[in-house]
Amino acid sequence: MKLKPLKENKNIFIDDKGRLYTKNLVKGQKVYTEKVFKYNNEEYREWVLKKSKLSASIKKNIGLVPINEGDRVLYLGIAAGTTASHISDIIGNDGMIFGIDIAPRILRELVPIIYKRDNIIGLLNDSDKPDSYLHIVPKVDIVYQDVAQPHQIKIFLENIDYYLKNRGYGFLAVKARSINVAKDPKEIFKDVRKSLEDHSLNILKEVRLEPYHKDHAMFLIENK
Amino acid sequence: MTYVLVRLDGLYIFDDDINNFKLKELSFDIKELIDIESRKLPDKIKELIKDDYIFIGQKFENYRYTDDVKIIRKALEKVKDRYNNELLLNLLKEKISNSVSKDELIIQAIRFLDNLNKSINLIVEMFREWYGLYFPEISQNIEDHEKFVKTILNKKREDLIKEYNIKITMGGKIFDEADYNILNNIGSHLYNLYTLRKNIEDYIEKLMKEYAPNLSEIATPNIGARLIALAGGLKDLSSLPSSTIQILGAEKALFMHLTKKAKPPKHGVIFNHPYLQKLPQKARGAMARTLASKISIAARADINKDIIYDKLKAELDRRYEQLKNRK
Repeated sequence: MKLKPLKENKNIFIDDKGRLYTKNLVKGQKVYTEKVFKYNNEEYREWVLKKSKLSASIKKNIGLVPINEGDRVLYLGIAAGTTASHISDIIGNDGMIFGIDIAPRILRELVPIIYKRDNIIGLLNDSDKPDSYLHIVPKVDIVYQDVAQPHQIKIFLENIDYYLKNRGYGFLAVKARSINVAKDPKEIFKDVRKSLEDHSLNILKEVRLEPYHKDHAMFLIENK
Repeated sequence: MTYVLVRLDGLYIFDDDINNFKLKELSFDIKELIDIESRKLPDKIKELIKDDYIFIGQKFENYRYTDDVKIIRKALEKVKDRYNNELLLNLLKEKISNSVSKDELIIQAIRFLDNLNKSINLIVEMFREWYGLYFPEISQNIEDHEKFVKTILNKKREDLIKEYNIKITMGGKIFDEADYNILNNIGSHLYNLYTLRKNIEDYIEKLMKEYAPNLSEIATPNIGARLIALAGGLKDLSSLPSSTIQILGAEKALFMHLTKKAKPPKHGVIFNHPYLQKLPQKARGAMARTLASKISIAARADINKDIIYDKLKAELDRRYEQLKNRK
């Protein structure tokens, strides 16, 4: 096996079979069911496509992964930290993830991960009320959202208004089935596109996440 | 005008155009941080606030604030980028701990009960099959699983033959002591599981009557607990419209209706309510509607700690009689 850095982001690696990896920030730590192994004296973790919408969107040619070392990331809907752990690998110890989630049960699973990763802060808050964490979260380089809420777009836009710096990036994972089960996902993604444009955001790319995640799309946006 | 922003490292006091600030350094403990999030201002900040101060984006009771996004953005650009990981981790743990409520206990108990029932049925059916080699007649005689287990427990074939007056058995002749003992051993464990089930049922009933007396009275404790589990908590249940309560537990049928144009469901878990069970099918839709509306009122009363179930029950009974006599 041979690993080489991805052209979109030098901290994400790809093998000859097209699987994605990040360099493990915490030696020996396994976050979910991913494979962990040594290569050239460094430890890597596989970024399982079916477990993460971000890795799936990279695989589906999102074209740009503007997550850099030292970045501040506001992560809405961090849950058990599967995707967040890979972002944590990428941003390194100088970066920081502010992970918001409303569900105490799932955050219980995040706590053991935070013990070992100093660059993740878990916050039990409602991302629908961005003012409830104004005393903690700073201006961020990236807003990442993956929440299963009918009004997830409104939540995303509000948080961008508060926290995303000018020319910062946003990743929006849209779950069509959570917005409206009865509607055609294509229509929903069209509506999402319109709401983002109306909010004067630059849509850099929209990718569908089939076959890894059914009826999902990832939008990459830039704050003007 | 002076703008202020509370952050983990203290109170930021901004000038008029949010260009310069003075930082009054403060440190907060977990209780104070929880207060801040529930919009109560800790005393150490109160002392520093003057009449013309306006909070940026933070709504504290009795204080002025602005939610102008431009001002919030600008202020956040200025503040220092520092945090205390340990404090925030402890805050998270404290909030997770505070989130555990009686709702959670009810939800876990009712889920456990459902799965226990499934497990018991699975085991008892396999047990009957096995026991059938020993004494099939008794299994054929007693249909009810629980009664069956109670009957055969600690009894040998010879005792039961006399008790049930069975002359010739189809049971195998090769059973020795060890063959019998393992069967009795399973039987005693099954008996314990039935006792456990009863204990959990009693526990749920007691908990529900204390925690949601109105809901228990109108919906029965069992269905009430199921509704709380489906809604995610009593508070969530109380904020649902009664049309949603009516079909909680019938999500599959509802989605078939929404996507495939099937008939809409008339009832979800409230289907097991005695009033619905006793009515003819034609009247159940109407009864389900009334029942759901009373349940929704009952849940709201429980949130407010009012006791109004007598009145609700009377209204429900009236509707039930009406529908029973409807031709």
